[in-house]
Parts: sequence; structure tokens; C-alpha cells
Amino acid sequence: MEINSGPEIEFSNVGKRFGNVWANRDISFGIQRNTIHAIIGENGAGKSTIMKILFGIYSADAGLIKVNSKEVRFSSPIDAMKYKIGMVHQHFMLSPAHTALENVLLVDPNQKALEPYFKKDKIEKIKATAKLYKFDIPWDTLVRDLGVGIQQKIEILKLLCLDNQILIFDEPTAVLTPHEIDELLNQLLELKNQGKTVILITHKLKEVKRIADTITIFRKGQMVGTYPASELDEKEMASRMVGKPVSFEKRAFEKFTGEEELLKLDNVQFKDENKDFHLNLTLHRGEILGIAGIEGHGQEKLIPFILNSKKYDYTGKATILGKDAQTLGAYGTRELPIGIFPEDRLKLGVLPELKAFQNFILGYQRKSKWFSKGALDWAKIKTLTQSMFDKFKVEPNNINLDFNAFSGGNQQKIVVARELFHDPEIIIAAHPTRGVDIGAIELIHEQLIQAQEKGKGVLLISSELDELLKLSDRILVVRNGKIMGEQIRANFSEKEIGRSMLGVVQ
Amino acid sequence: MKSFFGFLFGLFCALMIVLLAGENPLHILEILIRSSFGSKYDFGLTLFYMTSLIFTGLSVSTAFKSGLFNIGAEGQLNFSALCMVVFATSYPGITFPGSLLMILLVGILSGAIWGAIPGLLKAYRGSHEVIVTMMLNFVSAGISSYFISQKLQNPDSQNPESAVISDAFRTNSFDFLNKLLPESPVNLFFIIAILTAVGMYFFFTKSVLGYEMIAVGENPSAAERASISSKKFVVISLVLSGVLASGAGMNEVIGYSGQYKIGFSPEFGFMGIAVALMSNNHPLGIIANAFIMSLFHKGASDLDIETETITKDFSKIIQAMVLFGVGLQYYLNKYGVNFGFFKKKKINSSGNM
Repeated sequence: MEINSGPEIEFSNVGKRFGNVWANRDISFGIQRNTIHAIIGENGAGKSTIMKILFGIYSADAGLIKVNSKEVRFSSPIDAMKYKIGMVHQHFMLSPAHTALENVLLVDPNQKALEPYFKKDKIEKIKATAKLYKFDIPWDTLVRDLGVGIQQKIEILKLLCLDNQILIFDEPTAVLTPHEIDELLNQLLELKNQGKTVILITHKLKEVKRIADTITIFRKGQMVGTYPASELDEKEMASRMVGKPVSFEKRAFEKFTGEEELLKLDNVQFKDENKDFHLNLTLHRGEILGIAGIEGHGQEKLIPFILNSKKYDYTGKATILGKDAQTLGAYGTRELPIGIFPEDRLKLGVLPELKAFQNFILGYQRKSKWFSKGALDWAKIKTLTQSMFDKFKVEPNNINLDFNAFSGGNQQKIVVARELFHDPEIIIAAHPTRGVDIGAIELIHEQLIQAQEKGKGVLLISSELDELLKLSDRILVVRNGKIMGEQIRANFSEKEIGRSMLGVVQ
Repeated sequence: MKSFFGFLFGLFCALMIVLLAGENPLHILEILIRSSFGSKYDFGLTLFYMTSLIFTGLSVSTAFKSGLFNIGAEGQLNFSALCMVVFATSYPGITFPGSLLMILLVGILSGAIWGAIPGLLKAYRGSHEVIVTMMLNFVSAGISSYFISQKLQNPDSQNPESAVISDAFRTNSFDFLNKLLPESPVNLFFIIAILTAVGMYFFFTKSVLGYEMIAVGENPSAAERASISSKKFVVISLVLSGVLASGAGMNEVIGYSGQYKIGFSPEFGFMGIAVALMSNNHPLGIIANAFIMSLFHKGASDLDIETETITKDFSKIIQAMVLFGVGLQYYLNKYGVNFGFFKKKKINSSGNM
């Protein structure tokens, strides 16, 4: 391997535009060999774009890129791979119907179409590579039966088996649990130890702080700067990303009185999709109740259950705002003042191809305030939508755009605005900040705290432990459909909660 | 209006193809125009086709709006036409105006039934609506052949058709539109079709039911969360679809001939699919596109007669070109007329220099 004093990858004045908008402009920085280089910025800041240019998915409209001091111009990922550059995408490129081993075997570029792909020496080489990087993979399990954490490892292993030197990770921790995140970060450090160069695109500052050597910050398509990781603390990073000081102060907790019960699930038991649920929880007026749990453990089932309890053949008692769920109609809960941020906003919360203002009445479409003379009064709906757009600073501030046209953070703002518009007594917020940029996260958190201060009850379902720790008065942990531990604010312990999530008994 | 450029472009391409067949495009254009607007009779016939196409177009588009593909408009209009004739011949004694109201009701109900079958099967048994509506087209064709050949055959005719029903069941005695274009088949249902289209426009833009129906079509899981039962709306939408298709049957039976003739519909149900797609399911767009389709449908038969090379099949190509043209315009509107592709190349080549 040739030793180079200059950077391994060098961008100079790179630009990329879509239509009339520059997604990247005048980007110039270097990435040193054998380091972990973090690229951070809000959603839409252009950090993914620049890496897609490096990987050959997009071609640059200006400037040049050098790899090992040699100018390159990739027109497709295949070109990039020739320079030993690999990328782990946010959405995995695996075949769910094949086993873990087959998925790795399948990527061999020298594989002939009619040649058997199970070859002993190749399999041994793969297993050796896995061992070298300390990957523990259940080789013969179908990928569809594996968790996201393992799937991601397979994805990384695919790149390593192709002898890639430079590995780009696009928001790798977005889909992982705290435990898996921990494992991944260690893995990335291991990659660095073995001499690889790791490029990490993310907006999670804690992780950056923990493993990165160098940080490049992006804002609105331009570069703020490149800094050694030791120079910046989290607060400083966040401020430079957003372009203004960001407060990280935890909210002041007053002792909540917790008298009135807004929502109570008393020994509720039912079976759904082959999973037994056993739910016990009480949401009081004026509190934020956090629900922690590893994805897929049934914490999200709370929402459909609360919305339409009758559909589930349950024992025990569910009381919603003082009413027994059994006495409510099929969709009766929707008529009560309950606001819901759905766990998957595009799939469950909106009509993506309709306009923003048309989405604004979804779920509340039969409320009399939208009507005049028996017909939907769109002029009025538009005015009200506009007022909420202004209040929540939705960008672009245009209610006539299709919902699809907004970025993730702004989509979530629209959903939050809609759900809070009717001043609900109970707010059920599932993953309220998933895929949302820092500015919007702050705004959404503020809204939840405000609601709590006004004496509403907030049920916060999240897989981000930090978020739960920041906001909740109490935290419950869901594991395998059952509510396990309860912790109150005074003695929160991240470790303890993590253990309950994994089901480790002390 | 937006699709006017596409229409002209499609027409231009169609006429160029005619050139390949050795015909003079201007001559073909002249035949088309003469055939559609040439006389009161011709124009009336065009409007008559248009009436049926508005109904079937609305029928297909209503199903599309809630995410369903109804290719059974043909069967629905056929079944409802048959039911109306069966009803009128079974109870000839009913007097006007009750007779007219009742036959309309029979038409609507039979269309609704033929739409409800796939709707219920889809909602509660999970059968795919495309398969069921398609099969019901054959079933309804089979039923009508049976009734016409075995039970209702017109004794005064060699053709497979029923006897003419009593005037009490028909609108021709007070049809002022037909008086304007005498001897042509156009009738009051033309006006009803236009009003229905306008009505559907308001239904989808102003009523909660319309909003909820669109929501189900756009995103059934989100609709479910918003307390809209998608099952219920699958049924409602296909029933409504069947009722709208039955309008084409009424146009024939009540408005024009007063009898059931086997093959009275030259596949209006399927042409309705094209009309709905060309209009992007917009009820008012359907009026315009039904007009374009009927114009070419009318022209096709005359092209066959008046030219050597343009047969009825060839004229289908002309129709298809126009359809493509309108479809093209739709994409240009949706994605914006931009020539970014060419621009990008320019930048790249200058960058390389």
C-alpha cells in the first residue's frame, strides 16, 4: 500500500444542483486515511448528496474530486467500487429470501451466471473476514428473520469482502436500538484499527463525539468547516449545524401532582399477531409518560389498541378520559380529544400525494368547524392550515404543495400541528422525532413540554433513550408485549432501562 | 383545457401515420370533422356516444379514486339495461309519471347490485375486484343473451333484440334536446350526464364522504387510523361506480331506443377506462375527454366507409395516438415542462473542455 502524506480523498469546490437549487456548493475538504470522519448537518443540509457524488450515484456539476491524489470522475457506483469505495445505505440492499451467507456470497463481481456460488474457499474467506472484524453472524438464517442490527452487519461484511478501503455509512444508527448502536460504534472503531477509512453521515452528535476523529459540518448545502473532533463539544456542533445557539438544557421538572387519571389500562390482556400483550399503565394529567422498548416489542400496539379497543378481544379494563373503552363506538376514541403522532407518519398518518391543506383535516374530517352550509369549506380550512404553518414555521411555507414535497422534519411538523390544533387532552406521540432534524426536534419537544405544562397528558413512545430521559416524568419499559419496569424521574438510570429493554434479569 | 396541446400533438401524429397509409391527412381530418359535426344527425350521434362515455368514465374514475380498478362498467351498464327492459315488459300497465320514476329506480338498483357484488367480495372475502368485475361482464352478457333469445325476443324483428317498451317508460315524448337535433339518438340523458359529472365534482371536493373515499384510495392504513373504514368504502365506491355505469344503459333504453339490443354498447365500459385515465379522474375533465373519444368513435365508422385504406381497425390507431398525446400532456403538466436533461449535458461538456 502506497503511503500518502496528503488526504486520501479530497473535494475541491464541488457543487451539485437539482434544477435551480444548489444541493451542494463550493465543498472543499479532505478525508485522511485510516480515520473516522463524521459528516454532520441537519436533514437537507447536503451531507448525503456529497457522499452520493463520491460514490458515483450523482455526478458533480462543478469542482473535482481526488482519490489518492488522482482526479476521478465516477459516473456510477461501479466506478467508485473500482477505487475500493463502498457505501452502506440507509435502506439495506439485502435479499430477504436468502440466508445471511448467501447474501454475502451473492455480491461477488466475478461470479459467472451459470457457476455454482457455494464454493468452499469463498465461504471460508468470508468467515475469516467476519472473524477478523469480530462479526458474529448466524450464517444459515434467512435475512428476513434477522433483526436490523444483524442485517446491517451483513451489509458491512459485504463491503469488507470486496476489499473496500473506504466505507461510507449513511445514517447507520437511525434504525438501531441503543444496545445495537453501541455495538456498531465499537465495530466502526474496529474497522479503523484494521486500517480502513470510515465516513459517517449522521446527525446524532453523541455518537460523533464518541468515535469520530474529524468532523465536517454542513449547513444548507454549504460547508461550515472541518474540525478535529477534540475541538468541538456537542453543544458547539449543534450550534454550528443550526447556525444559532441551541439549548440543551433539560427542562425544569416540577413535582407533578398526578391526581387525575386521563388514561388507564388495568391488567389489559389480549393476543394479537401471535403475541401476548399484558398492559398496565396509568397516564396522569400533567405528566409525560415515556414508553421505552426495543423496536418490534409491541409498544406501538398501544396506539391501535387505544384507538379501537373493541377490535381486540381483551380482558381487564381500559379507561380513556373517564370512559370505559367498551362503551365507545368502533372508532369512538377518535371523537375524544386525543392527538396522535403516528409511529410511521407516511404510512399511517397522511395522504402523501394530496396537498398539505387537504391533509390537515385527516382524522378530524367530520368536525363541524370545517363545514359551512353542509359542505367542506376549503377556504376556511386553508386559512386555518396557514395559521398553523406560520406557528410551526413549516418550510416551505406553502400549504398548496403536495405533502410529499416537504422534508421529513417539516412533514412531522405538519402532523404535529394537525394533532395539536384541536387542543387534545391526551397526546400519544410515537417516535415524534424520528428522521427529523435538530431544529424541528427542538420545536416538537417544546410543544410536548408546553402541553404537559398546560396539564395535558403525554404518552411518549420512543426508541431513543435520550429523548425519553430528557422529557419523561416516568418511564415504562415494554418487552414482548408486556410492561416490565417502571422508573420515576428521580432515579432514572440509563443502564437499568437498557437492561429492562433487553430483558436481562439482575 | 390543459390537455389541449397534447390533443393536438396526438392528432398531428395520428395524421402523420395516415400519411404512411397513403392517405391525405387533410382529407382524413375533413372526414373526421364532417362525420362528427357535419349534420344535425351526425352531431346528435356524437353527443349520444358522449353521454354514455361520460357515465362510464365517471364510473371507472369513481372506483379509481378509492384505489379500485373497475373494469366491469360494461357489465354494469349491460345488466342495468336488461333489468330495465325486463321490468318495463313485465309491468306494462304502470302509468306515467310513476312508470318513469320506477324504471329509473330499477336501473339504479340493478347497477348498484352489479357493483355491490365485487364490492362485498373484495371487502369481506378479499377477492380481487379486477377478476370479479371482469367475470361479471361475461355473466351479464350471458344473462342478457338468455333473456333476449329465450324470453323477450322481439317478434317483429330478425335481430337479437327485445320488443320496444311502452312510451310511459321513456322520455321521448317530452325530450326537448332530441327535438333540437331531430332523428338523432341524443336525448335528455346528455344533460343528466353533464349534471352528474358536475355533481361528482362537488361530491369529491365538498363532501366528507368524497374526501374519505379519496383518503381510502390514497392510503388505506392512514384512513383506517382516521376512523374511516376502508371496507365500507370499497363497497360504497363500487356501488356508486355501478350506479354511474347504469346511466349509460338508461341513455340507450329510456332515452333512445326503448329496447335492449344485443351489442348496443360498442364497449362503452372499456372506453370509459380510457376516458377516466385521460382525465386523471377529474369529473369535469371527463366531460371534455368523453367528447374527444366520442368524436373519434363516430369518425371511425365513416373513415371505414369513405376511404380505401383506413379500416375500422386502422382508425383505432388514430384514437390510440390521440390518447397517447393527451397522456403525454398529463405527464408534462405533472412533472413540469423542463428540458433539464439537455441542459445538464451542456454543463458537462463545457466543464470537460
